[in-house]
Amino acid sequence: MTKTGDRSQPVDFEALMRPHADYLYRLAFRFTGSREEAEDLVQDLLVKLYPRRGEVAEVARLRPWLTRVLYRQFVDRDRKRSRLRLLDPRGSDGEEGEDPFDRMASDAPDAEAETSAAFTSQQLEWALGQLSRDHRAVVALHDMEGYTLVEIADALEVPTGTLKSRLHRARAHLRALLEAEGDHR
Amino acid sequence: MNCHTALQYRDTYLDDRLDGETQRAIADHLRRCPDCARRFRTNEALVAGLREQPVPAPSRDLVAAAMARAAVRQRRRRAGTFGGLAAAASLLVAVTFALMAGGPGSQPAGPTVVAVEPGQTERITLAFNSRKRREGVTLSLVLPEGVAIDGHSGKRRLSWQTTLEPGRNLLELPIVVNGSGGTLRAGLDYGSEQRSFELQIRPKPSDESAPSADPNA
Repeated sequence: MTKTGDRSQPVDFEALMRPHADYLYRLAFRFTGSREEAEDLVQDLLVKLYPRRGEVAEVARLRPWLTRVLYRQFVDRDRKRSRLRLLDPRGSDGEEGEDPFDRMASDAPDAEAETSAAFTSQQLEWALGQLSRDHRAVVALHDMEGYTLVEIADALEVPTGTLKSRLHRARAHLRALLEAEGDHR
Repeated sequence: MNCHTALQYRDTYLDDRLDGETQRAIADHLRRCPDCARRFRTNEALVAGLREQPVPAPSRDLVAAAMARAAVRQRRRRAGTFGGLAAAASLLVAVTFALMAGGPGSQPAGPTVVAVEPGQTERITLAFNSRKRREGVTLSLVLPEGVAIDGHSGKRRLSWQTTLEPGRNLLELPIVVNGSGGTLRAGLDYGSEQRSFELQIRPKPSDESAPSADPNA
């Protein structure tokens, strides 16, 4: 009798993945900012993993592994899209050099132009949507989901130093966006 | 510590990644510099706001939806593999066995009839559809006189235990017909559920050019 996929012990894929489904969706939403896109991202990932369920069942630490594959899937999909983003003024997501959004207090405009200390959910979602995918991902994992930089480095296989830099620049970019947005109100 | 230096530590201060001495120096600066204190508070509010960003519930069961899609893909792959066999020597008889606890089964309205070349091995593929994974299913065949399974000649009854996967499960039978053929009876036993199916196998008259089947889908 012809059986599905794996030729050794049958794997209950649903039982394997269900404990991680909510987490994957939550993370996918953090990455994409859209429920529909998050659902598509997770579902596409699960469909892709199904024929490899024997291999997936052998993974020792499944959650970091799933974080990595979800992130890669997000990056792949994002690369295929053309989206206009408000870029860093230097026009790149390079990691070197001084952050142009950080200014000395003496260079700051009138103190009254400073952004108020609270932000609405809509403001934050808008600003997040302007970030590059790498910056958005590190903000999602670190600031929104509470992972340490060491944990993120382990999951995404990116050096901690690179992540520190990305986080710093991402926050600076968010501050600048929110400050500019506040100026227009 | 001056403002420029303090602001460079804005993120590491918030993330509590500074050594004690630097932490104290910054705290001291913030006490004396309201402008920097405001900037640090803004950073804190930003991260607090991000942490509280809501996540809407998904609109569907993503695992179930993914498995349904994966099953469809798998059926298509299998059908494609089957299509690779020599069509002239293969017959597909699709039977839906809807195995559901307590639910109705799907029985063909009447026996399916297939005509095969006498004296030659013809492959007949039975397709059993199952909505769920079923382990420990007993599949049995009762062969009429004059019909044999190649490699098991002389045996009229065959049975084995198997697992039905969700979707279509294929069983390929190399059939040899001698004489007038007859009715093959196939049965599935799963727990308290039983399903049976009859397949009439008859020899093709010598003036027919190709095998034919009247599948009851």
